[in-house]
Formats: sequence, structure tokens, C-alpha cells
Amino acid sequence: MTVRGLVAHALGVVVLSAAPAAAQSTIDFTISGSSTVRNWTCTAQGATAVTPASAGIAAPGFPAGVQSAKVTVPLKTFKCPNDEMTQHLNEAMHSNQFSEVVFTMDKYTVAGSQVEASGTMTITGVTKPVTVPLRVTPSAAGAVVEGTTRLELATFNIEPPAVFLGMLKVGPQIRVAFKGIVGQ
Amino acid sequence: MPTTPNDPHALESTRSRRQFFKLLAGSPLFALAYPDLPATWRRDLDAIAEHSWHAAGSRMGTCEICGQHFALTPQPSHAQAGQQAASAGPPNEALDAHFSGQLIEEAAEAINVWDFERVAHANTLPSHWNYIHLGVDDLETRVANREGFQRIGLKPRRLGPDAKLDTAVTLFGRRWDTPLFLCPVAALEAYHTEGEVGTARAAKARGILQIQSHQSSQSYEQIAEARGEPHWFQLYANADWDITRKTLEKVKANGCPVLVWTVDLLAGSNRELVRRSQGREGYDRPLCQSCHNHQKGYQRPMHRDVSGPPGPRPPFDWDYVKRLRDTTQMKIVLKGIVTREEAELCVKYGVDAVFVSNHGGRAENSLRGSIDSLPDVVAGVNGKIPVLIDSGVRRGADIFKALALGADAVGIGRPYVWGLGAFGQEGVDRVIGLMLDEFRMVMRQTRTATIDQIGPQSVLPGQQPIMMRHNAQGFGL
Repeated sequence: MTVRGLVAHALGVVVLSAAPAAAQSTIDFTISGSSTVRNWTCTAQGATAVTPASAGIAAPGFPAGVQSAKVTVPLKTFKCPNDEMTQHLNEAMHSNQFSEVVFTMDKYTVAGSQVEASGTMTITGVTKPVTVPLRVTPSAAGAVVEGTTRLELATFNIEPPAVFLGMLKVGPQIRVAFKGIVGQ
Repeated sequence: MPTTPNDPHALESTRSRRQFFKLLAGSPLFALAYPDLPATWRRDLDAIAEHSWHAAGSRMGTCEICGQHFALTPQPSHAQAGQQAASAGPPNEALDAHFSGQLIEEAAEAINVWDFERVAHANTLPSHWNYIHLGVDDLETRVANREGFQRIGLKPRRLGPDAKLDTAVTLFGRRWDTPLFLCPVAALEAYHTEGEVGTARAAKARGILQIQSHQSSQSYEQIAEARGEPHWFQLYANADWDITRKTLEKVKANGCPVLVWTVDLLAGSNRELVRRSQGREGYDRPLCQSCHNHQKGYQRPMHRDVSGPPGPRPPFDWDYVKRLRDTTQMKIVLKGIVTREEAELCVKYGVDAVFVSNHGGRAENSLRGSIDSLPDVVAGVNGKIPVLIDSGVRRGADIFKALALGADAVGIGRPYVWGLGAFGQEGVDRVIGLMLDEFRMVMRQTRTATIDQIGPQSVLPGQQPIMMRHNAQGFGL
């Protein structure tokens, strides 16, 4: 169902790094939204690719900063409470044309453990600038990145799924929560 | 100079003023002058003037000389005066939101359990909302449940040693982190897709007991998997014993340790709001058919694979308890006991625990709060078996009060469903957290460090209920 937007938010996951090679990590996403019947939750899993900087803006777990970060969430990882919902989600996300949601970080700011990652989000072929707030805490493997953000489906030209002649219709906004470890 | 009731000068003065007012009330100019008189004069005049309330609420005076009727300028009541004073001041969104509920966007924003009520309502299909919201008849027993708690006072103790709080309780040999537990509520997927499983994850994280409803949206296995252990199961006994027996076998096979038999709906309940909500079409509406029993072959999980040839149909009497006892090794709890007599019978017939409940005001319209029934049941049980309670529990203080009056564990229903409907698992977790935070605060305020230390000496029963939260249309109860 509304999962599409979720993915986009999930992408907002930022990466921090210090070494030149991009580190691969996974991040779990929880996408939730409303409908005319009840609230709902779907999940997805995304992959991050982070290229550390050698002399960038220091961030928790990444003293030399991050050169680039990219989050990719394959649509096939979206899982809703039942197959019917998952199908509606895929239809809304045009999964037959677009296979993933992508967030590419352009820049970031750091204030303690709070990081604001700015970049672009591409969903269903539509690319829009987004800024995602993150909480980043150092961990043995790199950094734990977590946060929540909200997306308007209309921003990405996604029509909220509707069935039963519109009696059951997904709400226009979704909330994406994400958490994962980003390795150095 | 202060006067006393027997002061002859004061009495004479009052008499003179009344005579003057009586004269004034008899004047045709009274109506014109009345609005500009001092408030204290108007009050005395009101007492003297012959007046009556009309349908529109206007008050009429009668000229004693000319017989002419005239309208008196309404005086605001104390409450109205307070409202007028408040509205004259600067906007106070926090105050407005506190008593009317607010549409929070994150579970973490909630200050108390009612903050979830409006959000859940906004996000739930009206007919589903009406199911959780209803009370029998006009919701009076829902009100009684809240009033019951609101007439019990706390006895704080100001000074004493700092002690580490221990809220743990033990039921049937199993230790729980707190006496708070989640009551069985039907069809939780109606409020959020996470349903019982999301609720189970929250309960597990908080270390509290959860009782699955016989009418659950999700299966015993799914919920147990989410909890990581078997849980208690609530039974609606079927008239066909074989169906009930198979249900018992089904949950027992999955390790269910405790069976909670709900006995408060055996005689039916007058749920007008649901009937009004369903209308003439009922579940025949296309939107309803995808989930409800009208869909061909659809059955809720706990009703699957238990049918068969018709079996015996024993009456739901005390021998039925014996029949259950002889059929299963699970502990048996009777839910819905509200009298001393039946509490005594529970002990007599080998019931393992009594659950004081009026089904959240959804059984009979007794107009008696469940907390008001608790002392009777506790007396009937006489310490021989545990006593659980639900219905109207909304605050940590309510948990405390129920424990003080003899309950061993205290359940919530609607509050966690509000949390679920608003934010899924996260909302349930927050509801539990808020109530336990409040509960621990009350323990500190009364300097009770363990559950055993909470007793009748900790409360003051019998006061008039103080209800600040408005309950228009049942919200805020």
C-alpha cells in the first residue's frame, strides 16, 4: 500500500565513513501510514554504500567524515501484513517499471549525535530534493544510524492505493522509520 | 466588621434589604435597571423574584404589582464565569488539549493515555471505532467505571527512607515485572495491521502479561511467537461443548498455561452503538465482507479447525466449571465476577483466579464500577485465590487503588487499543510506559516500595467522584 513513500524515506539513511572504499551495510525500514479503515505498517530492507572522506566533517563514528552515501531499497524487500497489501504497494510503486528507491546524500551537517542529511530521493522515477534528520551514535562496527521522516506521496506522483471504489483509501502521507549499522 | 448568624443588627439589616429588594422587584422599571445592578444585588433579587426556567433557558421575572412578565438578564454560573474569564485571556492550547485530547503525531508526544484516543479515533473506520468505544445502553457503566476510581483518594506519606521500587508480582508461580497486564480485546487488526502481534511485542518488551482474545485477528501461534512464550487465552465458550473442547485442546497444544473464561456476556449485552453503526446492511457492505464472517469460508483464527458434528450442549452453570476443570490442566480464571456470592462459588468450584470485570461497561448496565465490586469479590475469595481486575483503569493511580483494595493484577483494554490504533506497537509500548511511570510515581508518593506494601491503609475510599475530564460522547472516559 503506502509503502512506496516509505522506501523513499528509508533511503534517507545517511552514511558516515572515513576510508576511501565504500562500505556496504543494511538498514531496516518501517513504513507506516493511515487509511480510511486503519493505520498500517510495512517493512523493507535497504543497502547503504558509504565512501569515507579523508578530511571531511566529523560525525559520530566517522572522525574524518563521509565523502558520499547512497541508500538503495529494492521494492522486492517490501513486506506488508498480507499479500494483498504488498500487491497494492507494488502497483502503486509501479514495481514493474521501477525496481528500487534510491537516496543519494549530497551534504550533511552535524550537531552532536544529530545529523541532517540532504540529497535527492528517487521514487517511481521521480527525483526530489530531501533532507532527512538522523541520530548517529558510534558503534564498534561504525555507527548506528536511526531516524524518522515523513513523505507526501504526491511529491513523487504516487497515487495512494484505493480499493472498494475508494471506500478504503490510503492516506496521503507516510512515516518512515529506519535503523541500522553503517560500517566504516 | 464580621457578623454572626445571631447578630441582631445583621439580621435587621438583611431584613431591610430584602424588603427594599422586594419593592424593587415589584417595580416596572425593574427589568431596565436589573442588568446594571451589582452582582450581589442581582443575586438577592433573583431569590426574591418569582421566576421560572423556560425551555430556552431564559429566566422570567414577574412584577408583583402589575403582573407583567419580563426577562432577567441571565447570570453566569460559576463554571460559565470561569469559562468566560478563560476565553478572555490569551489562547492556551496546552490547557485546551489537556482536557479535550490532542492529535499528536508521534507516540513520544503523548502525556497520558487519552492523547492516543483522539488519534486512534481519527485513524479508524467509524464502525470499528464504535465497537471499541461502546458501552451498553448509553455508556453509563463506562462512566461508573471511571467514577469508581475517581472517588478513591490516596494517602500520601511525605517522609521516609528512599527505597528502590519493586513492582514485580507472581501469578501461578510466574513472575511478572509489574501488576499491569493487557486484557483480551477482539480483532485488533481492525485498529492497526500489526494487531495482536504488535501488541505482543510491546508487552514482551515491557515484561507484562497479555491475554489473547478468543476473537483475535491473529492466531495463538503467531502471538506466542512474537512474545517468545505461550500466553494466556480468553475463551468464549461455545454452546456446543465439542467446539469448546477442541478450542481448549488447540491452545493447550501450543503451551497455553491459563484459560480465562469470560462469563459476563452469557446473557447477552445491549450494544446499541454497534447496531446503529452497522445499520441495516451490517456486514453485507462490500468493505466489510473482505474481513468479516460474511466472506465465504472466512473464520477468525481461533475458530478454525474446531467444528465437527454437533456435540452436547451443557448449560453454562457451575457444573460447567467442573467440566472445564476435568477437561484441561490449564489454570482456569473466571472473568466477569462482580459479587461476593459468586466469588465464593469460584473458590468452591476450584477456579484458580477471579477476574473482576464488567467488560469495560460492555456487559450489563449495572451502573456499578468494577472497582466498586472489587472489595466484595476480595472478601468472597478471602485470600484463597488471586483476584484480577479491569474496566476503567486509565491512570497509574488506578492500578495502585485496585491493588490497595485487594487486586493482585490490574488490566487495561481500551488504552492500549488507542495506542495501537494511533501508532501500532510503538503506541502500545508508550501507553504501557506512561501508566507504569504514573504508577511508580504514586508508589513513591505513598512510600510503598513493593506491591505487598500497598494496602487499604494507602487509600481513602468513599469520596464523591471528581471528574475533570469531560466525557462528551464517551471520549475522555
